[in-house]
Amino acid sequence: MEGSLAQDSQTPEQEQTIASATIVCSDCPRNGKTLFAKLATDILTLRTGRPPTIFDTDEPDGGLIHHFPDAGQIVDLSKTTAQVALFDGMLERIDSHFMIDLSARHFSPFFQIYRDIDFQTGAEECGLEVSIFFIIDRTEASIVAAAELCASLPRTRFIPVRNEAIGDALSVGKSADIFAGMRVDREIILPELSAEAQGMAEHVDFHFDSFIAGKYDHFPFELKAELWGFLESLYEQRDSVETGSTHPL
Amino acid sequence: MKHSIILVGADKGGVGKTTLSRALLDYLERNNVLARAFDTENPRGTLHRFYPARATIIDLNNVADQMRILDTMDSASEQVTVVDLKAGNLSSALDIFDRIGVLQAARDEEFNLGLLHVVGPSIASLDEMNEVAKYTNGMDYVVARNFINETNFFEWDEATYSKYFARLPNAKEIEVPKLNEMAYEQVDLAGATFSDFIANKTAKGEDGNFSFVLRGYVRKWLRDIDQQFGELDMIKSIMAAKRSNASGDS
Repeated sequence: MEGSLAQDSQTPEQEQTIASATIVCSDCPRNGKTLFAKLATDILTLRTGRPPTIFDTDEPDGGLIHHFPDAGQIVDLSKTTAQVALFDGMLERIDSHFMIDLSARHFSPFFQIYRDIDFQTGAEECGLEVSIFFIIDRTEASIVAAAELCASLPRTRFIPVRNEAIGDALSVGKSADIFAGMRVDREIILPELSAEAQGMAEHVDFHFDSFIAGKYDHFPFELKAELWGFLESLYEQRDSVETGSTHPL
Repeated sequence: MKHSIILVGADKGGVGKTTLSRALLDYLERNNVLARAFDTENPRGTLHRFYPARATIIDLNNVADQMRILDTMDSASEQVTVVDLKAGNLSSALDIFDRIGVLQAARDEEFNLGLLHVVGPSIASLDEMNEVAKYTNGMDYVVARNFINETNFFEWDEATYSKYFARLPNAKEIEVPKLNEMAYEQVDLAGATFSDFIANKTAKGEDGNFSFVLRGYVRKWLRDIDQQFGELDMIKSIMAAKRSNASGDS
């Protein structure tokens, strides 16, 4: 059960040094975005040996940053100085990895700026690989938002994420048809966790990389088994190209 | 090829005349149109700061300086002359040009004459349009609504503006979009042209260290304004003449 995960934990020095930027976003709040960003951060930490630099856009309260208080900062994207810190910061530190937890209220403005300044071209010139993970909410509007974003950034890696904890995102209206028509690099299905496992996963003192490294052996067997199953399910969704890459998931 | 003079002016200060002149010179340069410029903000010359080699500071009330613009059109290697009129000098400049026969010569098609009239968000700008209307016969008259350093707030409503605009025969309109304040400031501080700033070049042509985000904002802004320039008759005729010259040369 633990083979591929344990392998990741043992080989951070073998990772490519290519820089990556992972944007975790959704058009809607409270659909598991920060949990997914935490998971992605933990796995990237496991692979590279250090946490990525985090930009948490949930100003002023912060979300992801509470799980990684020393790894980044809260940025107020309504301020140009923060936009400069975020976008220029990613292009200037070409050997780093970045995690952007994009709050739903900043979803449209962020990608407007992204397109306006043609960040994708800047990233390509600097060798920065950008991946967008879009958490699809259980509305047709959310699928439409995902499809529009995906179409507007044809050169950016786009991965829709369906969180089973919020229900079947493709069962509403024409969602399944719209989804089928999207250009996606692949998709991720986030399995639903029990309330206990969910609570643990969302706890600021819990980290998936530490869990994989065996630091929570005192957990009840059922809880550990569920969390292992959750992780294995995600790992099995990776394709062969991504295995061993610096993409977080 | 017939020479083109483009006046950029307003009777109110701080509405973005020089910014528009800079954007226009940038546009012409990127489209390989040779242009010279005259900066009538005597003696300081804001346009001159960005185009020291191309923009000459003049005093439009001085006859010798009037001659530098008008009597050199045929001999100039540039096909286009851009005149950035000093703040508050639009009506008086047009009056001078009228008295010395420039407007009539344009009506007689000796050269092309265009006016980019920059209007700000105040009611006074509407009255300015009325004031200027009497001079615009025979020239390409363009009202440039400037949003660059303002929000979308205009003191006058669209219906009132439309009434004023409708009274202007053959007037065209462009909107100068808003440019991020910090980006605007950075270009200003750099003293570089918009194109150089985007290309991360300093005013001296050396590699710059300008923010990617701010350069991106300027690139987007310039692209938006370029699109509007490209739809103006005065610009279309300049481009058409350039193409015609090029095919004649080859």
